[in-house]
Amino acid sequence: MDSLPPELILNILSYLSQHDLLLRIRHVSKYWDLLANAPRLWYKLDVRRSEEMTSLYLQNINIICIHIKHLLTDEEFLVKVCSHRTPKPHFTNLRNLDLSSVYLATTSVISDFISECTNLESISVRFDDSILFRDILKTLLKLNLKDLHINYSGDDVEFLFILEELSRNKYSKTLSIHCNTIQNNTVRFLLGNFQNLKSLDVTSSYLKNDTFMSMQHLLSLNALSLDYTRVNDAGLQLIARHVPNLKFFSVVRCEDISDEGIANIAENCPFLEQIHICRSYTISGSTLTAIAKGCPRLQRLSVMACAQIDDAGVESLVTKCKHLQVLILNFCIQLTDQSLFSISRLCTTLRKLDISHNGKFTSKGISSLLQSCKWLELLNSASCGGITELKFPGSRTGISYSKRTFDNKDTILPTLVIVNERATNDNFDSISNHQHSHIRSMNLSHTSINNISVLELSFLCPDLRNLYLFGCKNVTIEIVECLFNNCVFMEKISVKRKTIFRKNLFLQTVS
Amino acid sequence: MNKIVPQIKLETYEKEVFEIDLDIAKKFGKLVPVLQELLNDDKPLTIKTINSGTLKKIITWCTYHKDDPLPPEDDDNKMKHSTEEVSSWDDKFLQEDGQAALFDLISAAHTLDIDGLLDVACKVVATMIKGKAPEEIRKVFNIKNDFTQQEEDQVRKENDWCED
Repeated sequence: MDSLPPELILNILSYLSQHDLLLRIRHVSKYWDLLANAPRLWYKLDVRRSEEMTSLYLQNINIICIHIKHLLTDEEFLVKVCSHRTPKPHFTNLRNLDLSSVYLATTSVISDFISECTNLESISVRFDDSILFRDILKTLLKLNLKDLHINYSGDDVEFLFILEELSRNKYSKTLSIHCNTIQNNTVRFLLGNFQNLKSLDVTSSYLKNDTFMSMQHLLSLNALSLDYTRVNDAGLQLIARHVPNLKFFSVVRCEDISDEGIANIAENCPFLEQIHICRSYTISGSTLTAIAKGCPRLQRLSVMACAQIDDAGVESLVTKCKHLQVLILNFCIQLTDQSLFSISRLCTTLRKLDISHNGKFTSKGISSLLQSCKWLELLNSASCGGITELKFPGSRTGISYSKRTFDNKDTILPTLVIVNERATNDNFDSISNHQHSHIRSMNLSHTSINNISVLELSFLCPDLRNLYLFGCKNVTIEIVECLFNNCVFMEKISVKRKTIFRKNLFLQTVS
Repeated sequence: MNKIVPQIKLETYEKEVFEIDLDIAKKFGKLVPVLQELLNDDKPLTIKTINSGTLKKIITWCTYHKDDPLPPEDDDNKMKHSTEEVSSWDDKFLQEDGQAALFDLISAAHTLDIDGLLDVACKVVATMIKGKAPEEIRKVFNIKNDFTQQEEDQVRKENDWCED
């Protein structure tokens, strides 16, 4: 290994956890100790929930802390660093500090820590109290930040104090706000006074008709979550006019919105990449058509439990949105196999798909998905009662076993496995990467799938890591060993009510 | 069926000349424009640091992966550096010839600028290291321990739980 040039060894080391790098790699040899100090391994450090915070750990942090530009920390680490005797680590190059896992109570520690980070540009803080905030704000304003992220969970009146304090200090850099259950007035104040709002999450807040009346043009706003609010179509229409650069939009469980509101957003925000809608009973296929027309950059769409959505909507969506990677369609009970055929035909680069809880999908639809969408990594088709047996004509990776073997289920399982092993040893030239599915996780729980179909699946999907077969009456537990043999990366399989891990299976066979 | 597929020629360390289809060579990152210039040339491009066995493997890998879609360009993916993403075919293909061949492949993939291969090969090696104690790592990669007994003791002593 040491014959490789150092930059390539570093390339390899960059795939290891920072825990491995800190405590193990540097004790392999003096050369590796040197390599483990390389700046490129340490731009970002996440010390949350580190279990082994020994003095060696802190000492090693001390060596590399000069490289760290992005730090995510919890309370324990801050306290340890600040009380560490000699020498105290100095994070002089730190640019981004994420304190959102720090649950306050230690204002002095935080102030102490950030006052030493003179190059800090952006900081994420979490509060449930405005008095603590005032303390820290003084330190923050001295730092000349470019970006501030506030995560607030507390009383609404206190939060308004915080915002007024910020506004009084003429805070003009970008601001991200994440807060729950705040009052209409506070949201109005936010939208009217902070032009540089970058991201806003006001989940469960009490919005009214006039909330968005005095809204400014928020050119830098790129994420907006209005989950669990009573925002309506009129509100969405106002929002749509003021946020041209929106990339993320979420209206989970907003029951007062309909097709018209979403269509307004889709029309005015051409850069949208993610849209989340959930349990909006009036949303229909025309919403998908509007999204397809207005948002060509869409990557993720979730329309969970929107029962009015139809096949035509899905078809127009997959026809236009060529960058779609994640699609959540569970509980969309009007959809039929026709949607799955459209996806198979037009959206072969999809990575995650959830179509669970729909009795209308059948084996045919699923088979066509698995055969066409080769890059699918996750497929959730739980509780799709129509799935009975899967067959993949001709697409098995070079397996040749006779039809006859299907009938005699019990004795044939070991034979199948052996045949398959020989098949995968085929010479590498003959097959191409897109001939088999790349699925990693699949959920077929509560379907009527049978043993042979599951085996077929394991041949088509050699990269499976997790397979869920909870409550499948027609699948027996004996199949598990064959599945582990067929899919070398399989970590766990859930059958009936049990979850079986590879390591446990291995232990059993040894003893 | 007389379609002429444009080919480029590469000469290895053993002076063996390989003809590679251009649509496979398009995986060769920054080298592509250089190779395209050589298209109409009879002389092969000599790369002395790559041996024939390694180049054969590289061609096989590129053929197998020639229709892969480009990886998604979101920030999550750039940040994510996990070893979970290796497919079973890649894993088997990369490990079947042993460690030395794998390291040859890594440095060749670097020379030819094949990002996908370099990525996946480094991940496979990282999996061999992951979670292992220093002593085990030395054993796997045949690395000499050059710490003195004194230094090792020091490390052991400091690795005790830090009580404040």
